[in-house]
This record gives sequence, structure tokens and C-alpha cells, in this order.
Amino acid sequence: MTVIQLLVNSLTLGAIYALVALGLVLVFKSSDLVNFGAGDWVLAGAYIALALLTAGLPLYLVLILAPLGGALMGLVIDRAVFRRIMSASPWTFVVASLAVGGLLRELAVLRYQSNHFPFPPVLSRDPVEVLGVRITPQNLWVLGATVVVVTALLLFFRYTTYGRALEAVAQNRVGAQIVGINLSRALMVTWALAGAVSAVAAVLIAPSTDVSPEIGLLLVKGFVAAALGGLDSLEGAVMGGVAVAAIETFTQVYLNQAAVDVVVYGLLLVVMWVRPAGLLGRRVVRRV
Amino acid sequence: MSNQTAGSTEKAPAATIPGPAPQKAGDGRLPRAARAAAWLLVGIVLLALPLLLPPFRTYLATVVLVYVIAVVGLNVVMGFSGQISISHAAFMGVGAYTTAVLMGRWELPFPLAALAGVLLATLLGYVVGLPALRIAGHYLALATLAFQLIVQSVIFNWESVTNGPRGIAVPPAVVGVFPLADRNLYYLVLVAALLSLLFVRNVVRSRVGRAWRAIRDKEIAASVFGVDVARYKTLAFGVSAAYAGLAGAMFAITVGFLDPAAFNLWESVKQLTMVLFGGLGTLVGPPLGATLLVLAPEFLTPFREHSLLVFYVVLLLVLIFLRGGLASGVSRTAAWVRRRRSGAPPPDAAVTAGAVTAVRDRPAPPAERPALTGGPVGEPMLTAGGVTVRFGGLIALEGVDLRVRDGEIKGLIGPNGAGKTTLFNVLTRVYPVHEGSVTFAGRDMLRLRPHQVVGAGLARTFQNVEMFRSMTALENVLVGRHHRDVCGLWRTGLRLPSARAEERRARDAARAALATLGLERYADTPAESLPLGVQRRLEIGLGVVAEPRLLMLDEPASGLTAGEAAALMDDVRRIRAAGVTVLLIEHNMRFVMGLSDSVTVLDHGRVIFDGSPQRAQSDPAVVAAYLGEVES
Repeated sequence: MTVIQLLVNSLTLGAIYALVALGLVLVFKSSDLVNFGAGDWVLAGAYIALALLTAGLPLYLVLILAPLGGALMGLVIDRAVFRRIMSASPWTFVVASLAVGGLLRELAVLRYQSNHFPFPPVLSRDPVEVLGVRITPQNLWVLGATVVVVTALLLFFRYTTYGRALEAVAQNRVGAQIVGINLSRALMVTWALAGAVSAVAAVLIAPSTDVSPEIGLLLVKGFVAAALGGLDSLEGAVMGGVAVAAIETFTQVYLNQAAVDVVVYGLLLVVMWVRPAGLLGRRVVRRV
Repeated sequence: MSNQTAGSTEKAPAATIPGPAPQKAGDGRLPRAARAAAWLLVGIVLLALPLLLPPFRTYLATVVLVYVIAVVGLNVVMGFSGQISISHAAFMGVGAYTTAVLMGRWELPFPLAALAGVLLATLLGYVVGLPALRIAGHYLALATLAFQLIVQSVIFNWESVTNGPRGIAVPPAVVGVFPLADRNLYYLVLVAALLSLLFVRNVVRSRVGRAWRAIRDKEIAASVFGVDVARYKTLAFGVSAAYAGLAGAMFAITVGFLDPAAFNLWESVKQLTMVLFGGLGTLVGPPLGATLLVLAPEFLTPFREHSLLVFYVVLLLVLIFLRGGLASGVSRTAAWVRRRRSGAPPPDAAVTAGAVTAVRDRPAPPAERPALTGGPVGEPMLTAGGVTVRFGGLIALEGVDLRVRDGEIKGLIGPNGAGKTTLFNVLTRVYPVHEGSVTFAGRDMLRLRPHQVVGAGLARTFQNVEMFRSMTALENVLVGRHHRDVCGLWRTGLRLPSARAEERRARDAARAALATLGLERYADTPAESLPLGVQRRLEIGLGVVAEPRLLMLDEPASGLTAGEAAALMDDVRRIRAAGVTVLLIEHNMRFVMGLSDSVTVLDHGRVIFDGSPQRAQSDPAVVAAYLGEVES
């Protein structure tokens, strides 16, 4: 296989990591929190879509309703848990978000056991050849949708008042409230948005991974993508996703399948060590 | 709140919550006799347990003790030093697999294999803790997450050594002629667990533990008072990993077969749950949490069938409703019962009332030596030359010269935003300098790291009182002694005579300092429940007990009543009479003009005046800076 072909193959995986990373970055940008359960939010989104599908809804309706279900999930989690620990220290949130993630997965296992469920693709999975590179229409759809999601989020944060208000909340909660931002509503919007993005990620990812509890662990690589790009940078999340997937693919081909996790998570450790703000993130400033 | 880290951003006025854990906080504890009796009972039960239980139950009790060792270590890093680790199970896995592999393939005896496991885990703990020098919070959590996943993957994929997903059998351990199994093993692990707990207890109550808790409560203040933050953070990670490694080694021979799933991310979360459920940052909490949560699946059906699910629910409930864990629940209840019985007002009201009278009860300051009341005396002690500091495009200080003479009280004044506090931060190495020089008592200050500044003889206070909130007044002042003392982890943990003598000396000095400031009655009160005036004086006490040559006070009188400010003036005079030079930032003009021998005035990052306080008040540039330019 040529290097170009390998890169193209890794792009879809990159899009998957990027989607998980986007959910993380979105939350970090608007609340200064890292959702350590982000992978399981996507997992939950996949099960929501699966539930809708098995209820007999047509695929296009599932694609529309799943994000709504995800948003609802975000609202519920915010109300039930996150809202109640808002005043506690950041690590309380780290632990709580891990617990919420775990809970989501265990609930899915409770309902669906550890079975693998196939999920229908939107477009064909027969590869077509473009300029000497083979790619499937389904993968093109995933790539295209990822670009749309990231563009929409970028526009939201850059050009809408609400997006900027959310960023203000992340940087200074008290200050944001003083200038009239409704903190409670801002956090609600953040979590609803995070849930919706997770569900979008889920329906894009599910056809290539199947729906099973194991995808939660696969999606942890989204953290590496987000950290690599910079936790507060949407563009960084996408670049990070693509980079992580490329590194993973090349490690697999030229080194060893078994070494993939060590290389990728080793990368995360190194990033945290050398440049915690990531490649595109704002520098971490220490204030006195 | 004992629940330190959680307390830091507590929204409710934290002062109204009686603190559970700070030692000797007075109220939350059971009477001495009751505690002794409780410990005796626990001791007897622990010793008798294997004689009363069937072998399977003894095995279970051993597993409980293994987890006790693990969580005591986790509590060091999270509870006491306030850093986050979501990789404790991974460290335990390192210890367990190292032991198993060395015993199985190399046929090493158990003690050697276990030692190797502990050492390897400790080493990796230091490596993972390294980023803690630069990062905190989420970033550190991400780094530990990465380590957890790496270990998981290595165990799973390095099949030639670890046997991968199939797991690995651990050969039976024999020491001499004693097979380490059943009762023997139980007693071995029991001794290890008790010694582990004792060691941590000793360390936490010493200089090292105070340094950890100071970092947890207020990192920058800890560093300014001489705590080498980087070193103590990595030390906490190392200790915590060593405990995990030891627990892993014990786990290996107890269970006899290692399944990689016993060390995955979710096991780390389980151990977090044990610590938080029991009570983060308390001594008895985590062992209690481990005991209950290890036993729960054996006795409660829902725990058995959906073990993880129930764990997460418990964890969330603890985070939402019981943030101090069981330990705080118990001591809060005890405090409540006592108050009920004695009819005394809640502790904070008493503290506030006491504070009002405290000031009056003190002796008058000694008469000043005549030589010191006049103009500047002595040689220049601190010299800053051409100091320039930029934040991005903003110039905070530009070519600032400052000279403080030995034995004087120097005022540093200027309108808001003039750069006074920035200058303090430069002098104490909190901020980097772009140009210029700082010399103090002949030493080039710019070569020092922040925690070395106080050792050079320069102590400071902060504008927004930076106390170590969960620590008592006495412990706060003791942090000021940190840089003078030397006993580290081993000496304090083993309570060697040198450590005990040092601790005694430090406590005497700290008590004396509290007495000079009229604060001895608050010695055992957590700083966060003291009123602002007392906190300010306490912070000055911290500075004094560090025995600096120069004490820098940043707006010490702000927020004080007139009476408190007058008392503070006496304090400052007393400090100077004891031979300490004072540099003072203050907006209260009566305060600063009444005290200072000379003043330097800053405006927009430049020095606009330097001279006597009397001349400053009539200097046109100074007047203009304060009142605005007079239109001509």
C-alpha cells in the first residue's frame, strides 16, 4: 500500500477521533472543564441511535433524532450531577465526569449486554477509485460531516454572541455573570451541545465500529487528539485527530499492532510534559 | 473542611462549616479515652479475625488489607498534596506483575521480588509526577490517564512476559519454612498495612506533611515560604506509587493469579471511590472506605451483580452529598452532639468574639531604639536596579530602582495599577524579570528559584491574605519554619529523635510567634474560620517565624478596622525593633506615613519619587499621580 493510501485510510479514523475531541474541546472552551467521560458520551449516543433504530424508525429520522436525544442526555446529566458540584474544585469534576462516563456505559451494558450491534452506513461501503486512491463513499460522508460539524462550531464560537458568552464563562465565571451572562443557562447550553455533538459523532462512527461497550475505550484516543491540538482549540482538535490516526496507522503498519496504544498514549504523556497547551492552544498562564 | 482541595472553591462561606479533619481542630473529635478504647477494640478484632473466620473469609480480610495499603498511598497524593491521580491501579499493577514475573520466571524469593516491584512502581511514580512541576488540574489528570492506559496496554500486549489477556499465575510464596498463605499471609499484610498507615500518619503531622498540605491549599504561598513545590509534588507521587507497588506485591501472593482487568482504568476509579467515600485527606477515612467497598460485593447482591454500576452510583452520591466522606460525616455529627450537650455557640462565633478582645490584651510595643526612629539608617540591604517587566505588550514596570536600607521601614506607595505588587512578585521571584538586577544582602536574587528566596532572608505577605485555609493557625505559622528545618520523609516518617527534636523546636518557635502577636488562643483553629484581621496578623506571624532580614508586607492594613490597623502598626514597630527591615505596600496613608522612614512612589510602572514621607506629601508629581494632573 502506498503512503498516500495509508494516509487516506487513516483520515476516517482521524475524523472519528476528531469528533470525540470536538466534544471535549467544546466543553473546555465554554466551561473550563474536561469531561473525562467524553468517550462514553459518544458511546451513549450510539446506543440512543441504536434504540431509535430498533424501534423501527428509518435511518434518516434516526440521524435527526439521535442528536436531540444526545442533547437531552446532556441536560439530564447537567441537572442531576454537574450542576450539583459546580462549586467544588476542578478535580471533583474530573472524578464526577469519569463516574458519569462509567455509569453511561454500565447502563448500556445493563440493557444490551456486551453484544455487538451492526449499524447501517448512510452511503455505500464499496470503495471507488479517485486519482489512484481507493476510498468508500461512506468514508467521504464521515469526512464531510466532520468538516461541517467543526465549521458550525467554529462559526458559533467566533461569530455568535452566545458562543462568545460561553467562552467568557470558561475564562472567568464571576466576570461573565457580572456582565449579565446567565451562568446556569450557559452551562445548560454547553452540556446540551456536548450531548448533541457526541450523538452526531456516534452515528458517524457507529457504522465502522459497530455498537458495543468496547468503543468507549477506542474513543479515549480522542483525548490524545484534543490534548495534542490544544484543549481549547477546535481546529486543533481536528488536526490532533488526524495526526493521532496517522501515527496510529503508521505504527500499525511499520511497527506493531501491539505498540499502538503505548505510542499514542506515550504521545499524550509527552505533550503534557513538554507543551501542555498543545500545538494550537492558548498557553497555560499561571496567575498570582 | 478537611476536604481541602474540594474546599478551595467552595461557594458557601467556608468559614461556617466546622472543619472535620484538621488535627486538633478541637471539636470534631471523640474524647481521648473513647478513641483509645476504639483503637484497642479495632486492634483486638484485627488480631483475632483469622482465628474466628473460615479460610475463605480470612482471604477476603487479607484482600481488604491490601486495598487499605493502596488507598493510604492514594490519599497521600490526592488527599494531602492535593494532586490528582487516576492511575493508582496501574501502579498497583506494576508492583503485582513485577512480583509475579520475578517469582515465576526468575524464581526470586518473595521479599526480593516485592522489593523490586515497589522500587519500579516508585520510579514510575516519580516519572508520572514530573509533569506536576508544570501542570495541575485537568492536565495532570490527563497525564496520569495516559500512564494508566500505557500500563494497561503493556500488560495486555507484552505476552511473552505478562502472558497477556490470559493472566499469570503467581507461585506460592515461602519465607524460610513459613508458607505465606492463609493466616501467615493475613498477619504479614496486617503488619504491612499498619506500618504503612503509621508511616503516613507520622509524615502528615510533620514538616513534610505540612508542606504537602500547604501546596494543596495555596501553591504560590507555599513556594514563597520556602516549600520546594516541585520536589514535594513529585515526592507525593513517588510515595503514593510506592504504596501502590507494595499493595500490588501483596495482592499478587494473596490472590495467586493476576488478571489484567484488576489493574485497568475502572479499578483506578474504584480506588478513588474508596478514598472519597471514606474521607479524602483524613487518616481513618480511606481505610474505612476500602473496607466497606471491598466487602460490599460479598454481602450485598446488587454490588455483586452490577459491581461497577453500583460503584459509579456510590461515587456520584458521595461527590454530591457527602463531599468530606464518611470521616467528615462522623466528626461533624460528633461536633454537633457536643455543641448540643454543652450549649456552646458554634465555634466560629466564639472565634470572632475572641478576636475583638485579643488585640487589647497585648502588651504595648517596646520603646523604639532612638537610632531607628529617625531617617534611613544602615547600609542598603535590598537594591533593585532598572527592573523592567512586560506582560505581552503591557509594560508593568519600567526601569524601576528601589533601595531598602538595613533597619528601616520603607513604604512603597502609588495609585492602583502602579506596579507595586508586581514589584513584590519580582523580588520574590514569582514573576520573571525582562531587564534589570535585584541584589539582596550581596546576593543576586535573580539566580534563585522562588522557594529559595525566603532562605536568603526575604519573606513576604500577600495582598489577598494567602493562608493555608484548612490548616490551623499553628500549622500555618509552622510553614514559615519550613525552610529552616531539614528533616525529610524518612526521618519524619520513622519519627527519629532528630525529627522529633526539630519538630519540638519548630513548635516552640511558632507558639512564641503566635504569642507575640496575641494569637495563641487560635493555635488550633483552622485558618479559614478566623476573621480577616486575625488572618492578616497570622500571615505576618508566618513571615516573622521565617526569621527573615527583610519582611515585605503587601497592604497589611486593607480591610482592617481602625483599631486593628493601630494594633498592626504596633506589630510592625515591634518587628522592626527585633531587627527586621520592613518594606510595606499600603494605601492607608495614615498607616504608611506614620510608620515609614522613607517612601518610594510608583506610578504607571515608574518611580516618581523617593525620599522622606513628609516631602512625599508635598511633592507635585506625587500629588498629581494621586489626584490627577491639575489643568493649567
